[in-house]
Amino acid sequence: MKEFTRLFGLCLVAVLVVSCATAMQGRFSMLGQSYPPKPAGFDVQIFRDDLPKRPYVKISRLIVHIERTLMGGSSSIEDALPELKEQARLSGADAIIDIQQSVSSVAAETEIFNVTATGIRYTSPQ
Amino acid sequence: MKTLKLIQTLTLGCLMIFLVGCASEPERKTPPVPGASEGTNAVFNQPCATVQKAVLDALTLTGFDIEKQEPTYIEGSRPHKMGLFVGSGGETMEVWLTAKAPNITEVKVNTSLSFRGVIGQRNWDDDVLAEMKKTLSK
Repeated sequence: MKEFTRLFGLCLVAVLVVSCATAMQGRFSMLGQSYPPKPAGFDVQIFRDDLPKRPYVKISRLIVHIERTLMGGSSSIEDALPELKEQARLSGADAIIDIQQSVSSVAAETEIFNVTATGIRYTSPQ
Repeated sequence: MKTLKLIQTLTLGCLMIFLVGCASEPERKTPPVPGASEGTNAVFNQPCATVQKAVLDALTLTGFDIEKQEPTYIEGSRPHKMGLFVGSGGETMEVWLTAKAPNITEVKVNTSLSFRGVIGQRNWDDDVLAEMKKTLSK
């Protein structure tokens, strides 16, 4: 009986662990002409509430999609930012503006967290 | 006797994990034939290339991995995610684009469900079209 309890507990833990699945997808689409990606490690600037003072042009639409099952907790913008910056870098953007987020759910136990934003490129040197 | 109990317990454990919804490859139910009876249609007043970009954005926003990407046909599938009760994923989405005029594109979207994990699956046709409308109205 003790062994059964231990094995049942083990199975329960295994089920709980695999229930914590998180999946993230990122994508960018160019709004016009293509640009070469920025080098790896390039620091993409993020403008959450304001806009850059320097002149710029909007070059890409950025998307990050995160899905988490019940036991994985809730997603936040902080979870999406690294992938958002990576997609911006790949699209050749210097910075990110117009960040918007939305949350929905599927089958009662999967949370969908979407972030969309716009990648921009400065048109004049600092 | 002890071994029998152990086998019983392991079988029970395996059965539980299977019921929760293990990963499986999405099974395509419908062939990519334009004009098939299933699916949802919509018409957009945009060129085919613009609508194709909106389809790709919409599929990403609804959690589909894009597997085929052609000018007039796109296919994606939602990866299986194991959950505590039903999980989610396993659906396949097929999208056909037809240019009716230079600025008019007809879109047909069709969700196919896979056998395993079907309880946690749903039809994504309206969600994909809604995301496309949002993108194309900007």
